[in-house]
Amino acid sequence: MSPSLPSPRSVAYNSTIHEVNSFDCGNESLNTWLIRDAHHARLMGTANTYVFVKDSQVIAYYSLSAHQLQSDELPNQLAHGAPLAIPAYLIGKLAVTKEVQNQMIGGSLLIDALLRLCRASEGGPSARIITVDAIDAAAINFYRKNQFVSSPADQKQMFMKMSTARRIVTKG
Amino acid sequence: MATTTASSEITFRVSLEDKELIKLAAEIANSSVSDYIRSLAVQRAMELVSHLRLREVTVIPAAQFNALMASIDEPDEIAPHMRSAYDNLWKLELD
Repeated sequence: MSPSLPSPRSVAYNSTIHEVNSFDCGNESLNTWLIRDAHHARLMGTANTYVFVKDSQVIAYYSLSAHQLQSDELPNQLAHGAPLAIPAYLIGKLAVTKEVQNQMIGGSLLIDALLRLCRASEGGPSARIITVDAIDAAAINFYRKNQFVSSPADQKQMFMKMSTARRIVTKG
Repeated sequence: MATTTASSEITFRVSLEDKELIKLAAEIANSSVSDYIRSLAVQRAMELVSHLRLREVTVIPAAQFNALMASIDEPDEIAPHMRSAYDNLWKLELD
């Protein structure tokens, strides 16, 4: 079944063709991830990174990984058959370079990630939840504004249902 | 670090200056040159690999998990600004 959703605007990060050494989003760990780690993470199969490229420079990126969401308790007997864990996607990193911040690119980058995940899940078994690890208060606000909800146990752990993501990218 | 049998060999070339520096450092660390290089290389490799191995599971309270499961196929209402962000995606000037 061919995907019915449009193609994302981002492209898979390729360290041999994409210039990232000057990438600066204002957060050192997110810069280092792109400049040093993204290539190795792809080789290790732990995360794939996608980039927005403008004038041959990477201006924004995100990384995606397979993930799992788990309950901290075993289901009781009445809930026999209820799952203990469900497959999820993790948006592990998401950053926009300083030069283009405050231009709505972060929100559109997130939409691009949702679109990519929804396309990946079309026509087959898929994750039911998208998770993010918000790194600080600003990130929590960003994801909250973009319809992620926090875990009561840790507000930096945030979630969106795939059904919600699908509604966003299909404008349903 | 777990003790394993060092039975495989890695050979590499260094400049004379680097070799003398490494020998001096190994002496100071009271170690053989090969043990010194091996322990440093393995430590750095483990650091890098564990850094890249992202957390694979998120555990949340059962009440939230169950609530999510109960409404997993019911999408939330979409805020109007999400539509704007979607529309903006197609207007971005990218390569």
